[in-house]
Amino acid sequence: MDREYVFRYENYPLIKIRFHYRNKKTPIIEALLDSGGDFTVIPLPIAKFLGAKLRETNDVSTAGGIAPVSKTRLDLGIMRDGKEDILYRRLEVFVMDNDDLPVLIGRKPFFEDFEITFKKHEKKLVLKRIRKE
Amino acid sequence: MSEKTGENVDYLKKFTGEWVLVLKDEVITHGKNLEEILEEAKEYPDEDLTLLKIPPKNYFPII
Repeated sequence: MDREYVFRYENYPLIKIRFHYRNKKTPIIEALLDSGGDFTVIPLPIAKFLGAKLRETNDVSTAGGIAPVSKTRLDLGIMRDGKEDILYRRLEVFVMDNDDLPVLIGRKPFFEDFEITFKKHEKKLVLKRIRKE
Repeated sequence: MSEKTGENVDYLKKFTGEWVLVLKDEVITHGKNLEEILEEAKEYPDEDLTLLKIPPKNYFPII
């Protein structure tokens, strides 16, 4: 059976994840699944908390206009039944100096690796891992 | 001071626009400065610690 991750879906599509960098890890984070965004984006204090090495990058186009960002690479785990599955190693993550920004999970690579079903009427968000041949 | 949260997520509405740190069912701290929230997170066991951003009113994702 393909692996499923089921999350409670109230007002926003949130999934429980955790970032790792070397021997440090964040608390579990309720991240917003953002189908309108290309990449995973975190606010700068999370990168600082992990001590992650940042690389400068070109400004990116955002819903709020052009914004300066940095990049880093983090491991990303997803919570399932109270336990964590490490999904991605050294995932490219964009970092923005903006505390108002939630952690955003964009399409790459989540929407390529999962079939995602928004069951608003059941208050469920289901991510089903796609088995690649 | 922590606050008991319970099952109903409506309790989070009062933290609109803020970061909230929850340990099991209790709000440990909340505020708009994420760096300060994460500094406080270091004092707690991380296995059950959860960080949430409560969207502000009229929220629109940035990226």
